Amino acid sequence: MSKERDDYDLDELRALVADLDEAAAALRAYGETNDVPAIERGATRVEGTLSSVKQNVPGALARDGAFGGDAEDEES
Amino acid sequence: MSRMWNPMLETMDRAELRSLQVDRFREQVRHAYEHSPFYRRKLDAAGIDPDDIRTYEDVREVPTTKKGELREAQGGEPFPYGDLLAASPEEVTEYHQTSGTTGEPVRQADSWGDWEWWGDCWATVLWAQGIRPDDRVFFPFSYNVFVAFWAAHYACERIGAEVVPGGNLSSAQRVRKMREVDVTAFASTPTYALRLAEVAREEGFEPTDFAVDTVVCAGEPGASVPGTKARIEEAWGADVYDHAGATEAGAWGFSCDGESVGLHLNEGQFLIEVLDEDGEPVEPGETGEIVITPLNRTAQPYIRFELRDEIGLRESAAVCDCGRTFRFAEGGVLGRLDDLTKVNGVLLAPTAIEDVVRSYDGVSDEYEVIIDGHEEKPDLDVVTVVAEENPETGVPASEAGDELRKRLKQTTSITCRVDVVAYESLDRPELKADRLDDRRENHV
Ligand SMILES: [Zn+2]
Repeated sequence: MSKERDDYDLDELRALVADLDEAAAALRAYGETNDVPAIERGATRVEGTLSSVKQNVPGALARDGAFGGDAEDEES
Repeated sequence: MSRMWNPMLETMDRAELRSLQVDRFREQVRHAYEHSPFYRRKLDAAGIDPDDIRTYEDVREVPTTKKGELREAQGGEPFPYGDLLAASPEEVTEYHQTSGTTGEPVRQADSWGDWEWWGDCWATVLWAQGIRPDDRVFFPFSYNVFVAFWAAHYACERIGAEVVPGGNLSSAQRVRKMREVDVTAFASTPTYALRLAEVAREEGFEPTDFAVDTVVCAGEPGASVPGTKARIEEAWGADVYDHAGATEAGAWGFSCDGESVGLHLNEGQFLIEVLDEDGEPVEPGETGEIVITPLNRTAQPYIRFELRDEIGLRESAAVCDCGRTFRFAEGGVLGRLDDLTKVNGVLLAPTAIEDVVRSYDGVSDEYEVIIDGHEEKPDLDVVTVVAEENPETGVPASEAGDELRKRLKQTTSITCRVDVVAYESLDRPELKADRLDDRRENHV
């Protein structure tokens, strides 16, 4: 997706949030597995920030993120 | 769990690290050149094109930045940072300033990204010193424009440790809060760490009974002064760590949990040059002055900033067993060049007096140094060290005074007058202690 775009529809916005979510989770997992706290804790911080972005994108799923699996459990 | 916040950087091969630093230095200079009129003028005058910086030798062609230049630049527009600012004023989210102990304060603008960077630098420090997500860290600090404890606070948050803010409380209230919630660590100046132990005893507690196992010091060099470090360790029954930083540059050095006394240089986030009087790099084993460039700053960058701190450079592997490749300042900051003063022609470092006083248990923790002209021979300088009786050892004042005078002479080669006064006669500052009172007229 081009950086200059400013006309995302809601589905695309949700997809962007999901991409960020996935990238942050992957970074956190990398940091955990390879014992690099700067990456693991930094990614956890991104996930925390992302959770507030999600709150502002209608329909974006409040899953995973900084709170581990708790949010998913609550949804079910 | 890793002993290092970022082992990828902290154990990086030296040649790779050097190349990474040069690349980041070039980007930092380019950013400063493109966004700060102050730096554009300087770099243009020196004929520097940021794109030409390819090697460590090229770095040394770039002009250094002095503290006086910062103050001068901040007198202009845009208020209050002047054209040192390398971002739009709207991007600035954090205001701090230097203490102004050596002149007019320098104001520090940071963007959100800069502030994240500060937190990361401090996380490097705190992680190396054993702070982990299960720690509860107390900040007995009246939160204000002094940057260090703010950044440490946010670094704890970054690490995942729990922060207990201790601003706007009396020392007695702070001690009770520490006890009440069982804090496992706290951060303060070395002076205040000692003061809190005194207050704890006054409040009927024994500080070694507290859950505190780590004391992180900042703001004064005390935790690398062996006499002071030992006193804090003994008072709290805790490991005591040092850090070095500056409001302008950031937190650039840290002691680790390895077998060494001194500071690793955070070479992942800073390009730190250690130079001799002619501006040439010193070799490991030699002493030099730090010229520093933080490598990831947006709002107010520092390009080859003359820090005026003197260190003894060592290769890490020679002095520390922690595995870091970051070079090492043995014994911490040996002297702030701005703090050194000449007494009857002899160079005096205030930390030398500190170590003597704090290594002798005949006197208490607090002291003051007054330098004045001799009553009858004004050309002669007289150094008076005022120390306090130590109620714990009960050494009589006259005896303590004689012993202290002897030890000061041995260490500093200066014959001092020593005045041992009653316990708690002297002030106990919470922030940086200004213990040197130079009353000499016409002294530069
Ligand atoms: Zn080490």
